[in-house]
Amino acid sequence: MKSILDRYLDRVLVYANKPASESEAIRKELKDHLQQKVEDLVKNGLPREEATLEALRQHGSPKVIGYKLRGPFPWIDIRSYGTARGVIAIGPKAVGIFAFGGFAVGIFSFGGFSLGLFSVGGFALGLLFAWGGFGMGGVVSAGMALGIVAVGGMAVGLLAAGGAGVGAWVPHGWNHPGSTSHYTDANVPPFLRSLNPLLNDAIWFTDHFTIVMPVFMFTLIVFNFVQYRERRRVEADDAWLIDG
Amino acid sequence: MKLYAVRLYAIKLMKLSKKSLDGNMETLLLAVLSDGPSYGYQMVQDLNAKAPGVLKTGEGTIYPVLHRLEERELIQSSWRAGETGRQRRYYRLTLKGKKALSDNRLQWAALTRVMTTVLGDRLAPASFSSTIHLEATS
Repeated sequence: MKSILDRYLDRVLVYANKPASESEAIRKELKDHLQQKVEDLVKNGLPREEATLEALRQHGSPKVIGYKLRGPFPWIDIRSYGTARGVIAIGPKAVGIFAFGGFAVGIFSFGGFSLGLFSVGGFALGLLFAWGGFGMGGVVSAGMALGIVAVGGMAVGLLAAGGAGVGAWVPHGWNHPGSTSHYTDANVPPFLRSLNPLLNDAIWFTDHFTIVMPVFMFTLIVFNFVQYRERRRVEADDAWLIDG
Repeated sequence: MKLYAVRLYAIKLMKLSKKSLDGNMETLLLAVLSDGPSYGYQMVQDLNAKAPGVLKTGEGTIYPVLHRLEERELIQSSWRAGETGRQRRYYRLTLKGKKALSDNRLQWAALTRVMTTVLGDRLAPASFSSTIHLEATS
């Protein structure tokens, strides 16, 4: 049967997710620290069992130490807890070039709440492109959209098109009942008119909903599956009593 | 009651935030290693002796920092038997590490000078020093 120290170190290494050779060196180093700590606490009068628990408590959360051992910004960072940071980041919160998560921030971001140059999500805020249930951004295609150029079931933007569009200019043809437009096609300023091609690009997404939606769903399924596997890998280890 | 509130405020002031510590842990560890080669547990003891409570997020959190410093070649490690006979990983500063520490020291000196000049006597409010006095005399 494994000692409490070993079980604690297992937990650290599960979160660190390092190659076997590196893991062994980390285990040896941390175990030496913990053993030394226990010996010192025993010398100070604590019973061995209490000393062991105290040493682990002072050593810190295995989650925190394990995740910190992963390095600052790896190619792929998958986490079942906290913020994943990597070129490809998958986690409850994710920050990366490609970020997938409940809250995702990246160049390309996908998630419940996503923020990036190109964003897709339930609530999407994109500098260039946002597509989601509620989107805000440069070019937005969404159920409810807010942006410089916005397209959607409900769109709010400088240039807006949708079932119900609210904007400085809702172009003719998108002017459905419920839409509000400050300018008409006759008096719209040239700079807004020049944004019209962007709007058409965004409309492409809406028109090709049957293509875009499966791609989006596939991405979400892959992201969820990868995260599920990570959670299973972490949970395969015994539940830890000091885990904080 | 008032004294209690003032004491709480003083304690809050004395506690360094996790954020401010995280950014400077590398410099602290380089400084500890400037006294000579050492290993993780010993470094924790040295840090705690000089600044109690500095490792508030856990003693184990120094290892990710040490490994990062080694990746950046600011320190080097080697395994050898300790006093207990167990294999122990010792770290020592590299030339690059010594230079980094020296640069960080200069940065700190400059920053401290600027902060002291601008904040002056307001670095610690009057209530802070009076609390210390009250505690000492009670």
